[in-house]
Amino acid sequence: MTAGDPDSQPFWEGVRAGELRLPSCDACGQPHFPPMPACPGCGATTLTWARFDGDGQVYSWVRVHRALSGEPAWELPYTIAVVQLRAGPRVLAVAADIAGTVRIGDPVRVEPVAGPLRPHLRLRPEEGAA
Amino acid sequence: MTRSRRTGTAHAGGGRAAVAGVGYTDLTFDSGRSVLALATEACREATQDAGVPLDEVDGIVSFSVMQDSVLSQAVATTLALPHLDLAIDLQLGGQAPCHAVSLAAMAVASGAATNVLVYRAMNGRSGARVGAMEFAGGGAPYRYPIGYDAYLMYVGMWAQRFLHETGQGEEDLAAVAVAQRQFAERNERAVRRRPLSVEEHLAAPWVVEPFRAADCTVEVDGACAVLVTSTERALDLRHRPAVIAAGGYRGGPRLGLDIGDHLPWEDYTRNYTSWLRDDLYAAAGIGPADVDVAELYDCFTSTVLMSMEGMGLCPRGASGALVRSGATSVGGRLPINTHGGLLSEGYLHGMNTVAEAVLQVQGRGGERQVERHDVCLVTSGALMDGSALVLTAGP
Repeated sequence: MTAGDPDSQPFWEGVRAGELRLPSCDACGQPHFPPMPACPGCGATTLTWARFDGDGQVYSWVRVHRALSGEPAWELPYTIAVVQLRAGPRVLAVAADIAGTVRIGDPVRVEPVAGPLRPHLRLRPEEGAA
Repeated sequence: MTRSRRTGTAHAGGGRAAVAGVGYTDLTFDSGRSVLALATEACREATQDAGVPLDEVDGIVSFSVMQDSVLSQAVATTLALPHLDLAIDLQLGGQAPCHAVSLAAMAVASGAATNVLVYRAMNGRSGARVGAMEFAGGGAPYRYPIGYDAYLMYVGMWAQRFLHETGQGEEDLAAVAVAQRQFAERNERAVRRRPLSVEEHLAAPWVVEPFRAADCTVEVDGACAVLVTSTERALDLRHRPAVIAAGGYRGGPRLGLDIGDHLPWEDYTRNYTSWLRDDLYAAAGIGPADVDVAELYDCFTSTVLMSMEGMGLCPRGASGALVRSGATSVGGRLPINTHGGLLSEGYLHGMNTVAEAVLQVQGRGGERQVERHDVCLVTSGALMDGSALVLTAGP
């Protein structure tokens, strides 16, 4: 599932290499997520992949207390956050191993976690972030 | 920022089409019947309710997600329709019901079809359950492997941001469930009819924070259908027509790669209603103050609040207070979800929301009938895209 189609393959390759890689639009300069074959801001189809640092803020979050689709992905309860990257796009990040509740506006960093089954972006609190 | 540009998409026939009848199956937790049997029964009921002979039905519009329903073609066959001029099978979820009715109205107004059935049928409890469904699409690989795997999580993600920005909270969500339950107590069709208090609601455990069980719809097996015909024809039928004054679908910019892909969407505190409102009211020739009764899509409680604000039924951030005041419940000045909503009547994916609007406009709401029902606003959908109708009482 996460092998990636031609649109998203560089993202997953980045995760496996420990890097956050996103497509940016050659026309308007904006990166976007999820990867897609054209820029959702302006429609241009020439994109360039680049590495980003993953710094951002929590835009919103949910805390999952009950599994709804079979076996839970993580030990319950776990938190999923939408992170507003400083670079522009928003991404989903798992905060399975962070105690307590994530708050909107918290400065955070997302970091790729490589794994054979479940490569993903993980949330790290940004200690003393600028 | 979110004002819509003027377009023609909200006209939906400009009052030339009307809903003449509605049909339901029983709503159950285990129908023991095929989805096709349910669809057929609801469609048959709707034509009988309208008083239109089945052999005059020449159009069908339906919707489904992840192939959980049956095609219009199949229903035309089991209804033994002599021919079919219009068959539309939308691959949409809760965004679809008002959209489907609008398409039917446009077909009738243009002469493409004469009498059009619109249905939703599902074994939504005993069979494929939308709440736990894995929606295919470009956003799916980023959601499901990490346990972001149910639709209520997506609506919950918006709800957190919405409550945060508008200064509202869990008491406001609870108030929606409680207000609608009061209507459900008066609705024999409703699955959840036991009285609910705010205290009881808030004492329940989280399902997915910010939602508790009563914030979420109750999934059921069943089907619901309405019959759309010309307003002129409807005037000669059994019931007072529910005239489709306006209707349409709207997705805002960057609406994502699939039904659960909300990442590209700019503002989680405003859904499609903010983008559709101006065009819808302009097409109907009304403003939000003219709405007598509203049937607002409510897969989760937060969707009601966001759609009230998006549709201009109250100022931004004031929806919770309005619900807590009792204004939207039994005897209130702006009744909302008079069947108990999907929260209490059951999850027929918003098709029953449309049918309830028709019953109210026609004055057939029984024990839950509201006093003023000349203008009814209906919405379908929760997040990036959706649809809405304005139904008005015919002469």
